[in-house]
Amino acid sequence: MSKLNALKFRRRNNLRRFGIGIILLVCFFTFGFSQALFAAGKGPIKIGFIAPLSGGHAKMGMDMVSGFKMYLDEIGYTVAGRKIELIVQDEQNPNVAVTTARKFIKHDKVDLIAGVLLTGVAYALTPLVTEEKVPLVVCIAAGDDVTQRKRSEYVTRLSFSASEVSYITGDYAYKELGWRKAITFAWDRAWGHESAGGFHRAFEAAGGQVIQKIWPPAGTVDFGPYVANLAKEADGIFDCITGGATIRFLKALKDTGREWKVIGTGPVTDETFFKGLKDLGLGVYTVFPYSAALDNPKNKEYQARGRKILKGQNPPSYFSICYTSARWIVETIKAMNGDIEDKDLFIKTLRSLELDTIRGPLKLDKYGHPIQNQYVRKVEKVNGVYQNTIVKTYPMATQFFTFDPEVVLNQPGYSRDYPPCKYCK
Amino acid sequence: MDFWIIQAFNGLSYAALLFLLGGGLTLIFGVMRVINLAQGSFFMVGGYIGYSIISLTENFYLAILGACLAIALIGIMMERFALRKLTGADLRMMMATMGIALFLQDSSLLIWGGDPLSLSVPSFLSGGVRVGELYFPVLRIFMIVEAVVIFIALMWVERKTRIGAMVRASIDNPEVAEGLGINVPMVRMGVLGLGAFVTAFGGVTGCAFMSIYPGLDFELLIFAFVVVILGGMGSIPGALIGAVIVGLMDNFGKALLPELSYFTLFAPMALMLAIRPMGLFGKD
Repeated sequence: MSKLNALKFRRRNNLRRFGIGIILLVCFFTFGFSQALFAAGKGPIKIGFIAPLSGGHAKMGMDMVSGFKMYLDEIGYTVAGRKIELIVQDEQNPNVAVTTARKFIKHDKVDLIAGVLLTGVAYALTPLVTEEKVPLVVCIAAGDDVTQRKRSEYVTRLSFSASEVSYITGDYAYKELGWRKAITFAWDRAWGHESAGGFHRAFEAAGGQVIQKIWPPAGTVDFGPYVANLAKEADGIFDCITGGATIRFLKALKDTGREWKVIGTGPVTDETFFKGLKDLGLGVYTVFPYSAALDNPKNKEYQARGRKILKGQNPPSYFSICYTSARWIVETIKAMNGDIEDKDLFIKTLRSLELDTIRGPLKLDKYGHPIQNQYVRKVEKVNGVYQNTIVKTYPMATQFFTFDPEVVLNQPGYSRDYPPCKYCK
Repeated sequence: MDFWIIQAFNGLSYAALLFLLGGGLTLIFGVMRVINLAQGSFFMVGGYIGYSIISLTENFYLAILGACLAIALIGIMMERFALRKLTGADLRMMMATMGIALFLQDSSLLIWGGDPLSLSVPSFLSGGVRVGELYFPVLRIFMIVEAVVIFIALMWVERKTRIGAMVRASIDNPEVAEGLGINVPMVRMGVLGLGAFVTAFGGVTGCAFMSIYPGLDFELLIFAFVVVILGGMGSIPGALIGAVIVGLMDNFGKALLPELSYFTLFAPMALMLAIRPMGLFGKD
C-alpha cells in the first residue's frame, strides 16, 4: 500500500467517524430532548376559564380569576416547555355557560376547562364535557352531586362540597361545643339544603337533635320575622346564610336580644366579610378547608406574596382555592411532560397527584373530590385584625365524612325533607 | 301576644324602608310617567356613598345628607341628559333607566368592590329597648320615625305649598301647566331629584340595617314594584299604605307560613291587579 493510499484511507476513516459522530449527536438530541422539542412544536396549552364577571357574583368570580392567574404568573405561564394560554369568559347562568364551553371546545380548541362558581353551571357542563371528552376542573362549585350522584370521570373538583364541610360542623357542635338541640337556618336552595342536611346528619349521628329547620328564600331582605320564631330551648344555630346576607342575618340575630351561639359553613365568615361584619362575627364558628390564618410556612409565604399583589389586602378564600387549583393543574401537566393531548392520562394523573399545598396535604378520592384537612375556625380579633383562628383540625376528611360512600350515594340527595326532621314540632 | 307585637313591629319597620323605596318610585312615576328601573340602584349607591362618607368623617348625619344630595344629583342628571330627549316615548325611557341601572351597578362594583359593606350607626342607634320580655332595636324604631317624618313632609309639600301645586298641575295636564308659565321640564327634573333624594335616605338607613352588596339593587326593585302596584302608581299615601301592607304581609307570611313566603308577598299584588288594576290610590 502506497503512502498516498494509506493517507486516503485514513481520511476516509476519519470522515466516516465524523459522520457517525454527527448521526449519534443528532440521535442524542432528538431522543434526549425529543419530548421538549415535540411539546414545543405543539403550541400552547389552552385553558378555558369560566367565572362570573358581571352581576351579583362578579366579585367572587374576579377573585377566582386573579387567584388562578397569580399562580400562572409565578411560573411565567410556562410548564414542561409549553406556554399556557388562559381564556377567561363570563359564567352568568347555565345556558350561557354551556354556550361558552361549547365555544371553548369547538372554536378555541381548549385542552381543558376550569373555574365555575355556580353548582347549576357545573351540572349543566357535566354532560357536555363528558360527551366531548374535555376535562373540566371545577374550582369552586360546591354542590354535593358534582362528585357524587351526577359525577363524571371528566369532571374533577378541587374545592369542597356543601355537606362535606357541614358534616364536621354537626360533629363538632355535639362533641366539642356540647350542643344537644340545634336549629338549622339555611337558604332555601340546593346549597342550603345540602349544607343543613350535612349538619343534621352528623349532629344526629353523634346523638343530638335538630328541633327546627328554617328555610328563608334567596333574596330575603329582613330576617326579623324568622329570628323572632327561633325555638328558645335550642343550644345553637347552624348557619348557612351566605353572601351579602351574612351580615344581615347575624345582625338580626343580635337584634333578638339573646346571645345565640352559631356554627356555620365556611363562607359565612369568609375573610372578605370582616370589613362589613366588624364585631358581629366574633365568636362564630365555621368549618372550611382553609383559613388565611393557617399557620404553616407555605401559607405564610403565600399570604405575603398575595398581599403584595393585592395592594396590602389579604387574599380572599376563593382566590386562594383557585390559586391551589391552578397549581394542581400545572403540576399534573408537568408530571405528564406537557403531553396534555392525552386526555385519559391527564385525568389519571390529575386524580393520582398528591401535593403539599397552602391549605395542607391534598389528594383526590376515586370520585374526583379532594381528601383534605377540614379546619374548625372561630372568628377572633388578634391585634386589632379579625381572623378565622383554627381551633381544631379534622385531618384528611373525605366528602362522605365517616359515612360509607356507597350508602350515601344510594340515598337521596339532601333536600328540605331529607333527612326527615324527627324532632321538629 | 308577644309574638304579635314583635312581628307587627318588625313588619312596620320593614315597611318604613319599603316606603322610602316605593315613595321615590311613585314620585318619579307621577311626573315622569316612567317606571324608573334605576330605583334599586339609587338605593344601593346611596348606601355606598353613605358608607364612604361615614368612613371618612364618622358623622352619620353628614353621611345621610351627602348621600341624599349625591343621589339627587344623579337623578337630576339622569333627567336632563337621558330622559328629557325621550319624553313621550315610554318604553325608550324605561330602557334608558335600565341602562343607567346597569351602569351604576358596574360602577359601584368598580369603586367599592364586591364585598358586602355595613354602615356603623352612632351609638344611640345601635342598642335596643327592653320592655318586659320584648326587645326593640333602636335602629328599627328610628326607621319608622324617619319614614313617618318624610311622609308628612312630602304630603305637606304636595298639598300645601306653591311648589306642590306646580307639581300637581304638571302631573294633571302638562300642556296647560306650561301655558300658565310653569317650567314643566324644570319641575320634572326637580321631582326626579326629590324622588332620588328620598330613596337615598332609605339607602343609607338600609345600609346600616341590612348591609349593601352588588345585586341588592335588583333584589329591592321587585319590592318597590309590589309596593307601588298595591298602593297605586303616583300616589304618596298609596306608597305608604302599600308599604305597610307589604311589610306586614311579608312579615307575618314568613312567621306563620314560612313555606309560602313568596306567595304571601305576591298574592295580594296579583289579587289587586285582578280587582283594581290601578291600585288602592291610583287614578284612571
